[in-house]
Amino acid sequence: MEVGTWALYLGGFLFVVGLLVVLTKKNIIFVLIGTELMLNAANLNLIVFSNRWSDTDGQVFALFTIVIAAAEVAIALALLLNIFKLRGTSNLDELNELGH
Amino acid sequence: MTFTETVLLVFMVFAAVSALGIVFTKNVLHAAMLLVAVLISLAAIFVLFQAEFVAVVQILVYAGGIVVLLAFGIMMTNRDRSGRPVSGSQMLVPAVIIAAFLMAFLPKIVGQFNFSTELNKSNQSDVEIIGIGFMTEYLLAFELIAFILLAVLVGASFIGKKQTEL
Repeated sequence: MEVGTWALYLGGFLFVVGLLVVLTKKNIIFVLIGTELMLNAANLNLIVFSNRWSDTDGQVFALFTIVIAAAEVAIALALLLNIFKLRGTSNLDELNELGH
Repeated sequence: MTFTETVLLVFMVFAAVSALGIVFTKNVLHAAMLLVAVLISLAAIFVLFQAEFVAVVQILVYAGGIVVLLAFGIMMTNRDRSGRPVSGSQMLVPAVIIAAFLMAFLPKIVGQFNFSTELNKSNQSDVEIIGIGFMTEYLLAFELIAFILLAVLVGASFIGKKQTEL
């Protein structure tokens, strides 16, 4: 049983599902959740290969990815609150104007 | 099938099913809770792949921090006329075609890697190696990412505060 191969398949599957969520959903928060799924798929691959070659570099990069994801969500939600205050919607299709 | 493989398979199926649930649910809050399920099962998978420290950080930062932020954002913003946080889907057919195209190429890529039948086990503690790595080889990246996090939090609190007239 090659558990590493299973994990790579799971990583690919999670990435594709995240992509599907990003492409289809209308809501900003759904799109954020999709990007989180894709980042986690990348993390899973980093961990699997870190274990495959007995090297902790993959884990270090996974930690960096987690921090970047946290930063991304913090900024995105601050922007979302302002957009909602200004436009009264979080539907991406309705947010198509630059000015006030 | 060993005990480790069974546990790994259970968590993998759980993660995959929860991720699929995010695609099919309309309720944003349900999607956030399904994301928690995915993140926790991924943390369990990380533990089985000998990455305990990343698993702990995953639960603390993702399940404890990011999902709380997401839930906060959902409750502050998403209301349709009925008052429930729901959202529909669009462009389903083209997106599924793109996703299926990507998924079709996966076996070719994944098949290139030879994995041993057993997981590698390290004798030294990974936390120790990662800590030394952060302070030596990855010192620059570590400091930069700390600075980025500081800048992001200051920026987020600035954007989030009550806007005064410019």
